[in-house]
Amino acid sequence: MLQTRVSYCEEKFRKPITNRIKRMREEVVSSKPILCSERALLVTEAYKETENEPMIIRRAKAFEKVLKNMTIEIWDDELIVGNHGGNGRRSAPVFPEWGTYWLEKELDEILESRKQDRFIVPQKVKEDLKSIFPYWKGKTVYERYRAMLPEETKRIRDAYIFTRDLFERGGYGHAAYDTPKVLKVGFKGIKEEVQERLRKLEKTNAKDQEKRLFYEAVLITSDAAIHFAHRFSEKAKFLAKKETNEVRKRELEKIAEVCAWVPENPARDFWEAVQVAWFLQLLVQIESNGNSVSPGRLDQYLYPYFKKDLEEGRLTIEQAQELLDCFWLKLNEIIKVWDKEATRVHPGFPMTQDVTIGGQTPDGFDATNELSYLMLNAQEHIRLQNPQFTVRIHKNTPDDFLMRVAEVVRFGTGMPAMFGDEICIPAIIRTTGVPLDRARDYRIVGCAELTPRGLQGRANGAYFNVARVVDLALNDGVDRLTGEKIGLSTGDPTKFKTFNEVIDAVKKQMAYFIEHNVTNNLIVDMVQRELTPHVFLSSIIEGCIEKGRDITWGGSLYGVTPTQPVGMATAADSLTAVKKLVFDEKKLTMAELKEALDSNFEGVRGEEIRQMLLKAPKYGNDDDEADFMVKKFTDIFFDELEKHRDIDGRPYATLILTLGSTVPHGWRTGATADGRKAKTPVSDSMSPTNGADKNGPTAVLKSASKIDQIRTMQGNILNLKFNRSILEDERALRKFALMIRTYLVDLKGLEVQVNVVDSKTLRDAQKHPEKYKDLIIRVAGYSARFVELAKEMQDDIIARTEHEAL
Amino acid sequence: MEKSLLSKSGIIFDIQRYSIHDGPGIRTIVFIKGCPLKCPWCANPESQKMTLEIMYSKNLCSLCKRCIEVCSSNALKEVNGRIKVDRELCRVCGKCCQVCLMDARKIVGKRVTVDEVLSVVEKDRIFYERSGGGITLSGGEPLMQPEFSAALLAACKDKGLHTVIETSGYQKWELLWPVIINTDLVLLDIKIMDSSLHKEVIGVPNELILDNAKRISESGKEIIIRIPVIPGYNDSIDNLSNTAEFATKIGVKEIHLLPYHRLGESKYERLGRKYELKDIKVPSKEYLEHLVDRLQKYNLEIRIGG
Repeated sequence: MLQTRVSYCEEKFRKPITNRIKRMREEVVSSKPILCSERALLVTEAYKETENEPMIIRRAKAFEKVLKNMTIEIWDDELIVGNHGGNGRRSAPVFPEWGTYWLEKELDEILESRKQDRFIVPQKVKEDLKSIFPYWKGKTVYERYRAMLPEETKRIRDAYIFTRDLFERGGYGHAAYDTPKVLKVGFKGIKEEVQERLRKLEKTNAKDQEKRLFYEAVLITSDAAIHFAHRFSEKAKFLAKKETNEVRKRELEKIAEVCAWVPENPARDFWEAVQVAWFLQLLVQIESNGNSVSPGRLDQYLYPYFKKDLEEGRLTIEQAQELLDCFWLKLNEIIKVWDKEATRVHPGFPMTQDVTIGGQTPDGFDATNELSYLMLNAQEHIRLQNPQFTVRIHKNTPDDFLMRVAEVVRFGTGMPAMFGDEICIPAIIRTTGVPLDRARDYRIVGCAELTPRGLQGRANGAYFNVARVVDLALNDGVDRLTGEKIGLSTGDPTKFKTFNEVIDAVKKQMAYFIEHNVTNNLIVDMVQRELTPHVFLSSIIEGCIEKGRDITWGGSLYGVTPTQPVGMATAADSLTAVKKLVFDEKKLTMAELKEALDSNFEGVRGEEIRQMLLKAPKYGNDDDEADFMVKKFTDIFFDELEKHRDIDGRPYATLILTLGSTVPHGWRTGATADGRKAKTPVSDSMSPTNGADKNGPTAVLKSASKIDQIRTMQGNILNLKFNRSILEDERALRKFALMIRTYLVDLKGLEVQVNVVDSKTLRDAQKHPEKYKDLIIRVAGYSARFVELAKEMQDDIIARTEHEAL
Repeated sequence: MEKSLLSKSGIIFDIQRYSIHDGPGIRTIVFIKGCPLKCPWCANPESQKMTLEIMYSKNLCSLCKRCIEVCSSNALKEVNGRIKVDRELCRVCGKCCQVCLMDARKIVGKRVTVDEVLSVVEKDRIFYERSGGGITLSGGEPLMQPEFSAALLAACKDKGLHTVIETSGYQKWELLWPVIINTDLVLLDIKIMDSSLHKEVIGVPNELILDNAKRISESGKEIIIRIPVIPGYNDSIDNLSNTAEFATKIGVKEIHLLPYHRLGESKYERLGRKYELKDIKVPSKEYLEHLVDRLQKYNLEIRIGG
């Protein structure tokens, strides 16, 4: 089959940012995060009114109450409407259902003064929230979860071997909701389907009675969603009447018309389709504070509407671009409030609302279309934290598209992240058993979670500190910092005769902690079943309506629970050093190593040992000795994790992603055998330890490709750092694009993302050259690394970097 | 492949993967140590001598003095917040580099076999295949170790790798040809066309270079001429036009202008040498484009940068 290709250099698809978007962007950027009490008050009121009703109905009625009564806003210039909080453009609603204890603690001072993710908290909001705290005492997910946790699991959880923060006191978000269905049938269609199923239920069957409750709840949330849109329609009509500017008046009238029609009815044009996509994204995030709610493959879902409008002359490319830019901006209005501990792991308000472009169609053709290019423009225009923007690359991805992706990467937002279909699709099938066409239609949810249609990812099943697991194996289960016994007794390490004994100890510790991690997740999931069904989200997830069951009760067609190893390179490099120095070359005894680690490399001998450890082979240099250890070690993790099933009997899968957790997990990790000092960060995601990779990007990619990535079905993240100078001209950019293609297509890498190093990082490299040995400079015929340049020359490069950033 | 080829050894000072400005595609550059020329603008001064040397980075040094303690020749001492070496006494044993915790002392140069180099170069084969890349021999001057370079390139060709050499062409034909015969593309540096000026600035006349250029071209090998554009030394329109004319005459189709940069300056200090070109300004983009314009009348592809 011949496919039409669009070329990125065609002027037609490169659109500049409009003044409207510039103005709106400025508004969003200058809005400070502020706390909003409206939702919390309304939910509390609804809960008080419905105490005699079943929880699923109470959840639906609470959602309805919020949507009917919350303040709604249509901001100046907006084309796509729908606000999240009632207290300004970036106001964060509160979700007391999942936990209020931390808010009670942080409300008065900490929220406004903490280091990370500060909020403005108006006095009125403080009073409002204080007035509802007593009601929620003892009723929240977090409290119930803590009460149900077995003692041993609680001890390990509190020893910080694994952490789940947001997902112990927040809702579910990681689900691939079904935008195409809502575009096609509207909530009217969903209601009809539900009513039809209600009619067919057997009155005397207990299971059917459960289904009845779910269906009745869905009817409530569907009507609430429709009514919510109608409120915007009325508001737009009202504003249009007052509007004196004729152009804006017509826009407001159009908004009124759009919101009167969707999401109740099937979308009729591109504008309506974008508005539906936004309403869904917004409503899911008003229902719960689940993280990583993701719009998905918008270039695919919206394409039929775009194409039809264009063909019928109802839409110009400029208009389409502006609507997409509006959507991009809207994503940046969503903001949630989390506790201090959680913001350490997830710093910087990461809503990780993922938009995925490119990739393949369900029947395996290249799916790149005009909208994929327009969305790259949107990313170029907006360049903010949201969306989490990803592109799927496969063997037939057009070169010009990849080049345009590379250009956008060069702007330095680290996005789009690039995923490789060649491994993602087999990985999805291997773990979840979805059919090929569904697997090909996967999107990214959150940061990296591969999610085929109809799959519910059961949030993050914990950041799991594997560096510490290895260290506990090297210390008979005793925490090196506290002296507390937290792991199993796996033998006095100074008595180990062979490296195999070390590996055996690692396996035992790993199995032990993973088991407790699974228990921890199970308890949270049990509580969510009981207390927080997600009715609205369930109504748009494939499987739930068919089965008559909420997602918290296993309603989705497919599911998976990820767990994230933190400190992978730290752990594996530690084992490499132990094997090489203690057992192979016998330059060091286990007793000496233990003393050095216990003392955090104190004294001359301590420092000498540290240098020996640092000079041992490290992951990230395409050195088989180090890389095979990473393979061996990750296999241990995969083997143990894959033994388990979640609450719905669905698989566990690995996600190698750490976000900010490397810092708090590092604080609790003593000195490690890779030469890392106590309490410093452990290694990030699937990347080599900072500064350990010295052979350039191709070596990092080769090293990463030796990990059995098909077993990281929930995703992995590989960060590459580039100085802008090596992406500067088109030839260099093309080689970069080819390198990416080689990794994703030939080496079957799962993901790679590029940080174009900014001047701040370069300054840090001046101060801490040991962390930046990998920062390369490329000039014809010249050999050097950034940290080796004289200060004046470094300053010059920094100045150039700053200049280019303008 | 002959075993003797693989066991040939030479002295290199760096291998750099993901090189993107020295020939087509993604390449691995092998930097050969030693150079017969003395270009005052040289960006790799550590390449000039064929013997091993020690480089010292003051900005990485923590002044822990472990190097002073370990030096058995007493060649090191601390002077004004830096470690000073008496190069008369230093035997370049490398002990000071081994004990340095900060990588501030580094030994430059390493004797390696063709086999060892090949095993590194082969690691990026998968990247060469997609991008049309391969190996580039640079330096220093690859022709300073003609037997090693010839053996290395022969071994690379044997493995099906694309080969590039970056050279000044200053070597006897009998020694040069065995290297070039296994080279797919020659990046030939021609700095100054006037032979007496060439001798004055660089230390040797250029007849041998130009003659070799002609003979390489006649042999059918592809040449790209690279001119380092050094303001005040060789950026006169006359010199550039003469080079372009020469290129046309011998059948070369492409010239790269490599703008002068100062990235090598700090290396002089680290080697305890003096950088002579303190006052020269880095040419602006506009100036380089102006030079390209002036060369438009020749039927050549002129590119700025590698």
